[in-house]
Amino acid sequence: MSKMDEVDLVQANVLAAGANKKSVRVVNGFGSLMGSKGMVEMDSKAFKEASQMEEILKRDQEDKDRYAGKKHISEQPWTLNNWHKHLNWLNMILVVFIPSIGWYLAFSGKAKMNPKTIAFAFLYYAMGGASITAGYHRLWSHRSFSARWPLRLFFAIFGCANVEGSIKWWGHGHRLHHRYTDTYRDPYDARRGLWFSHMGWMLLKPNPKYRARADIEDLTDDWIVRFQHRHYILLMAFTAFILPSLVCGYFFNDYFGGFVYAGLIRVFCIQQATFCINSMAHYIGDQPFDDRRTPRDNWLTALVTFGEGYHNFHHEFPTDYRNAIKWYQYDPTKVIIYTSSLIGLSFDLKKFSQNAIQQALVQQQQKKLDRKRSHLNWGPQLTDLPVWDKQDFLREVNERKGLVVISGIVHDVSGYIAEHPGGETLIQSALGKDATRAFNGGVYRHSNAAHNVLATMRVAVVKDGQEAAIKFAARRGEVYKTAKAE
Amino acid sequence: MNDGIPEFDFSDLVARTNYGKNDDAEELHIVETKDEEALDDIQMGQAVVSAGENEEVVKELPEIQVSSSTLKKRDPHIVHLLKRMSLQSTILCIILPLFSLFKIVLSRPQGVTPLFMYFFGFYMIISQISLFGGYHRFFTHQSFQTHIVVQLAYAIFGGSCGLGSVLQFTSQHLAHHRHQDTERDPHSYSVYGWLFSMWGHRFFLGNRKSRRAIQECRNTFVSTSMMVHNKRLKHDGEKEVLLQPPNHEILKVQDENYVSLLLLTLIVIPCLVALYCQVPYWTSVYYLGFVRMSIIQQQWLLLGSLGHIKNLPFATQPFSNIRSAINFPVTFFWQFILFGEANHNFHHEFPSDYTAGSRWYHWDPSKWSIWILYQFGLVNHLHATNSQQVEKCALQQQQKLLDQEKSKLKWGISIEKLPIISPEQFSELARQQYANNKRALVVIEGIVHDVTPFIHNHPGGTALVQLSIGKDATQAFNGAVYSHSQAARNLLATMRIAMLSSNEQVKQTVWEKRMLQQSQDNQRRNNRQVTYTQKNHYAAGAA
Repeated sequence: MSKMDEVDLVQANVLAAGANKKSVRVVNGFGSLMGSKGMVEMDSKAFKEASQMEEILKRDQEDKDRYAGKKHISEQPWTLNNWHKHLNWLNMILVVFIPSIGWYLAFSGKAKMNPKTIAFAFLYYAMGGASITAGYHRLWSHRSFSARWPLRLFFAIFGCANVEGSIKWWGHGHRLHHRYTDTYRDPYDARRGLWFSHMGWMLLKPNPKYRARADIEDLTDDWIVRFQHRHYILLMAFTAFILPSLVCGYFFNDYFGGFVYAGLIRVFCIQQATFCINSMAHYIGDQPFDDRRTPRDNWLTALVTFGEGYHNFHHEFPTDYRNAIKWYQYDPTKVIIYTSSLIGLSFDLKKFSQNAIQQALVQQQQKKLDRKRSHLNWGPQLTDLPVWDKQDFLREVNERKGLVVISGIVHDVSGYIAEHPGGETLIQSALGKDATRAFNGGVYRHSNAAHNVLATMRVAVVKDGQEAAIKFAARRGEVYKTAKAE
Repeated sequence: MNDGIPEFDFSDLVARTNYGKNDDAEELHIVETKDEEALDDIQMGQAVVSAGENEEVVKELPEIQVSSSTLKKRDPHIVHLLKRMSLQSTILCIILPLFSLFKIVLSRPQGVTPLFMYFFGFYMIISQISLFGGYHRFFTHQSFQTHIVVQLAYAIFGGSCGLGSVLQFTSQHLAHHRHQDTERDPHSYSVYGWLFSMWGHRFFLGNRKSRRAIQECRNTFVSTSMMVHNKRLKHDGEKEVLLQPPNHEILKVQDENYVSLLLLTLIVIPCLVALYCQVPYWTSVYYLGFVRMSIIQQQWLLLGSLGHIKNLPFATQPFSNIRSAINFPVTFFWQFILFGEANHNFHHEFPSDYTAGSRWYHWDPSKWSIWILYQFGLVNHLHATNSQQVEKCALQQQQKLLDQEKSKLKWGISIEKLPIISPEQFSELARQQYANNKRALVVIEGIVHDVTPFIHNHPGGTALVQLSIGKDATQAFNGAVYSHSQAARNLLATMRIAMLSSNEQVKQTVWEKRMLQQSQDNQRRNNRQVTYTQKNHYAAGAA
């Protein structure tokens, strides 16, 4: 081992974060207002520290000393004086205040409900949702397929309409989430509670201690991503609020209704639906592929989130363009991507082999079975039993009443005589004897269940009967190396 | 087995008893004169071929020809067929039900009063309970012991369903359980199809093998009950115990007087009811006798055929899929049709469970009645399977399915088969291969992987893989950069090419080794299990 080079972990982490490259610096009008800049700036020192356990421990100690008196706002308790410092006010406005205005206008009756507007809102909702799931998520964050520019432009523009940030910001956060799932570096760490992973992570200020960075060079290489990030505010304002008002106004003469229903309320709905992937998809459902981490598969979440609810599969096979693999599972995004590939708008759809998927399923099932198995009493192993010869047996028979030999194994059935389904008489006449043939079909061919019951009553192995015993045990799935080989 | 330990000698227990031989037994001698071992070899061969294949029937043909050619005179075909028909069960299970069906379709029910309908319902439920709870769960599977009077009721009303005397029914059903899915099974769905398992076996006496199996089961059953009987006689002075396993005398008397019993239950009791309810005698005999009998017995026959259709849509086999017994889908519905026996897979795995796997919300009056009798102290030794045992069986079955699934998948080359190279060799090889062929070799956990085709698919980016070419990336792979998922490990395993020598890491860290080893072992074990269980048919036959 010493002769061989090991991968330079610092360098690897630098690479994984994409910090080695001079990527184009793309800024938008909000700049530092987004509040994420401080979380991604990592210098070479930070990488070294992130790669070496000793360094990390040392730094933790240093941090502890340095910040002994002053804590970051996220570590301080909430008080009446500092509560406003805990909050990220920009996000507060975008995901709480603006939608609340929408609900106020809707419930107070100031905006009349027009069926046509509502229908348009649904349509627009679907367009935005598809842009988020197929575009933001599967195309840009996971590169699970490649798309031509018209489709990318469509996704980029209507993705803005959901007011969930630019592709660059979103994709970066999502890559971190996948790289650091269920750790403190995960921006929407599901272990910190349903509420935190749903909205809390956006509304609260993050702790710079857990800063991390992912490689998003391929995103910044894309002119559409750069364009969208640079003009994000304008694009967002236009697609999220102005466009729906104009469309509803022009076609249905309902400018205000369009603004409220197809704008504000639609934005609220789609935001909540997206947040559900981070929260619900880590909380409800089952884990058929891997239960070491929190992601879960659930049809209900899938229904809300355009098919992203099969999250356990997704975390196990992130670069698969599908999220649902069974025909009956609801995943419209998969259909959209596949259809677009048929008409040539996308290509290079990535799929994991069925073999790999089945392997994960089988391994997880095995894990579950093993867990269940460990709760049950399977009787002692043959190798743990003493070996008796004839004298031993005859001596023991005189002392203990309920010994029966079956296939070279001595069983103490005294506790079972009354329960024996075939009657006490049969079992009593076999006490102290070898009942192999009677057990195996001479009187009654016992079921697998009977074998299991019998195994719990094992006492010893007869000296010459070891081979028979091994064969007998193999019938209920116990495996021993046969003595023959030696 | 070894000379030391006395063997439990059950042969005297299963000794041929003179009494109770029906005419089937006469023909059996033909078989018994044959060389037993040869016969058993044939059966074993067939059993291994896998039960339920038509091949078995084909294989059977030459044998029949052999045996029939040894007979001196061959009957004309029709006579031969007629000789092989069973008169009693044909009348009771084919002709009477058909007659009832046609009559009920062609003419409206007449002269029926509400009071009569109550009697009908009452008689119906009593007979059902006696058949399903008494004949089946008590006499055949002995899942409890009951009072002598209850036994008598079971014997009378169970007998009224026209499925034969307790002895006939029990021996047939035990043979069915013991030799399920083989030719020895008296109503094997997998060998002869649904028509046979539903009605065919009622028409004909059945093949020699099944008749012999029935006879064996009958002997075992009779001698067991006789043993209990004799034991009781020995303790004559003590107080007579009334809660008994199947009482020998009842079995004997019922079997000998089965025809009179039928007359009583099909004719006399309905006539008495008619007298009381003021309905015509014939109407009463028809409904209380024939219709009731037909419905119940057809229910039973339906269970025997449908319960073994392995590919019935949505049917499940949670406890064992070696045999054909299934648990019905839509259990709640089927429990009504089959009177609480819809969990047939459960029943075949745990035959002596008095619940037959039905839950409290399932329609199962026989279970309820047994439970009520138990509360009144008329039943004891009630046998219900421990839930741990049920879980164990289900687990074993799931494990089996999983192993099958596992063995179908590609798990990469097993570690033992990999060539071994030293770390120096590896460094040299990796450099050369990269320079000449652009092949990327990476060591992870002491195993050399050729990741060339995967570089551009790596979700974490190409650069990271390129950085690790010719190096040991164990730590980076295991969390220093990214903690890879199980799926990633599986994918990696398909890219193995060699193992590093003098590497103590391999044995501890590489989990695949165990995985592969297990899957092979398990497969071997499964195959073995099938052979063993089928050998047991053979063992049972020889005994």
